[in-house]
Amino acid sequence: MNIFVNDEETRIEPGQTLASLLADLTGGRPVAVAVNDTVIRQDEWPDYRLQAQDRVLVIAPVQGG
Amino acid sequence: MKTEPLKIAEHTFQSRLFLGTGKFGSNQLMHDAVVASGSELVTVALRRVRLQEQEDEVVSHLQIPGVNLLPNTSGVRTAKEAVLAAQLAREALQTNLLKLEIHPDPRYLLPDPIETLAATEILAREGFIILPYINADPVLCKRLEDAGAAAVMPLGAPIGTNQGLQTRAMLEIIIEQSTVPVVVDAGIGAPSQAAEAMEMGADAVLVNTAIAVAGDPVVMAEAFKMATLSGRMAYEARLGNVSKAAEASSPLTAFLGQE
Repeated sequence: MNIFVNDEETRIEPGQTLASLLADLTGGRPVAVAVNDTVIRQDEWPDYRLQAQDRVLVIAPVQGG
Repeated sequence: MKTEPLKIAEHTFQSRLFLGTGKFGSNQLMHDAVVASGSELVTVALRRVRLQEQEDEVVSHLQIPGVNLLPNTSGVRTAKEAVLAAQLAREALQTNLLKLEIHPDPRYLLPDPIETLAATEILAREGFIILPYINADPVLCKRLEDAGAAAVMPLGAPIGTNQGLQTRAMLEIIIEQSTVPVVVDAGIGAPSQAAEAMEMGADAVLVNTAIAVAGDPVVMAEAFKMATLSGRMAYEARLGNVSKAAEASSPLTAFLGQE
């Protein structure tokens, strides 16, 4: 099934969790995540199962004033 | 020499120089400038992760004893976007501190007062410690204070311009009226301007571009540290009055026998 990660269409396995998606994509960098505009806490990632067409926003801290 | 500590919500700061981390040539240079500045509160931005790229991770370079992170919401254009950004920032950095900035205009990056006030009202209810970046508008500052802002951050000049305290007259009114700390943010381009803001009674200054783009950012960070402290010391020592007519500082009578 397909989801959108930072607006990029991404194919994942049905039932894949947010934790496994992020492990693949972020390489362990500190990030925060919202799915369909709702922030998902890190302790919820292992049990959070993604649905087709979900819009996943992944952000990380960067330099900035 | 120590000055009075600054309190923002439950946080206490000895340094009144806040530092932005943008525009540094490298994370190591940023780290060294933060250390040299003595700052205890430094900003970071949030960006979408570029999934296909290996990006240098910034937070590990800012894990310096005594330094707190202040995430900003730069890049959002509305209160709704700001609320989501704030929630993400809290999750990413495990802090309720937030520099709220909403600037839809890309040319001058001037903050949107209406969206900023709306976001402050929402985020204060969610327990954030909000430091809104705003225009130097005394009425708006009072409204933000009433809405739950923990401090106000009026601009001296547009972001990154190094123009100094172009809004000085309005900053003086804001400082006079505010019951929350006033942090002069944006536009401060030289240590003397930081000292000027502190002498006026600002509670702190936030500096980024002037340090990051200096020929030697680390030395400039130390210069700002000294200027901010100097300005605060002068404020606490109370400056003399300004007068139009001369007031002699030497005796004018009994010179060479004249009475």
